[in-house]
Amino acid sequence: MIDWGAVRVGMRRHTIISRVNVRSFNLSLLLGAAVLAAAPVVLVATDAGARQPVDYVKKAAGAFKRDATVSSARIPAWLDNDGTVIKSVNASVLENDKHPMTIKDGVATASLVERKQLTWMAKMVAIPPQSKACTTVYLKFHDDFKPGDGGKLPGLSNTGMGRPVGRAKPEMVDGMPYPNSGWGGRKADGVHWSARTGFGGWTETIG
Amino acid sequence: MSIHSYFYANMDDGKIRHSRPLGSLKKGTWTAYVECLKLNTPGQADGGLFYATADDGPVLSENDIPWRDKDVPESMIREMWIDVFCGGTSCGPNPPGTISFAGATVTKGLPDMKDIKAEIARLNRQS
Repeated sequence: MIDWGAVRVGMRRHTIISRVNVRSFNLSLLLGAAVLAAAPVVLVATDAGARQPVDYVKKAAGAFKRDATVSSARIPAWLDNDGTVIKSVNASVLENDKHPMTIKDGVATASLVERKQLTWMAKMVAIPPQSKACTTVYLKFHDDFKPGDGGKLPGLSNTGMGRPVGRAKPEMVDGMPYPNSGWGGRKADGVHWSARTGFGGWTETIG
Repeated sequence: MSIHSYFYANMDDGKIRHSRPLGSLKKGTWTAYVECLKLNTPGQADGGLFYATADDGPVLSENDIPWRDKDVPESMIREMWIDVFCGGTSCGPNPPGTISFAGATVTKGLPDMKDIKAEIARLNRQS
């Protein structure tokens, strides 16, 4: 006769042991990744003054590899579960964009077929002022997509360029002019900033 | 394909731009990422930046970013920048190919990932 109580206890023990093994395996992976990450630092320490030129071919090739340093993050205490929509930005917002694309069934699709072309789509959309917000971006990188040297993807910002009128003029704050900034090498100025997203070609030191 | 955060904040480290790795997005299928941002208290580095992807869930949580130093309406989150391009100034040695954009939704807080996955499934059925 089968003792089902004993079987259940045995299965539970097996599950616990498996979880411990998986955790140990993950820890080993993390330690291994840390050692690998530290290796270049150790290797270049003897020639710390020399700065290696950027190898863009290598960077582009590496763009398809998953970054081993990324692990799961905790949801911060300041972030509530709240899907209340502040603004829906549909593909139709790109209808007046100067960059060639097709818009069909709520999807904007653009192809860059020449090396000199740089921009798939560009549109600044104003949203009601918020101190906290999330944006969810739906994208498809088609099979012919190549990340090249890397590039930019949509994100939240406050550059000053989203103002409905007078966007070319500096904003006046406390009697001082604040030109559009926080993008394209224009430093954040205490008022303006941006938080776009990037693809491919990641490097920690970007100026 | 690897993605990363790319932000300009009022940091006091001499750098203009900052970046952190976010893992990967799939190619050849619809995908999505969620970016959440909390402004800092002026004078304090307590601003937040959080990312989650449809495939990997939460991948970045930073809570020490000084986005601004003035508590004025002009420093708030006011823009959704639909900005998809190569570089800087170069796309590399090959034609960069094709990208589709189905939209972006700005919400007060973290949306339900189930809804996001359902929308991705709908887009994949449609295409």
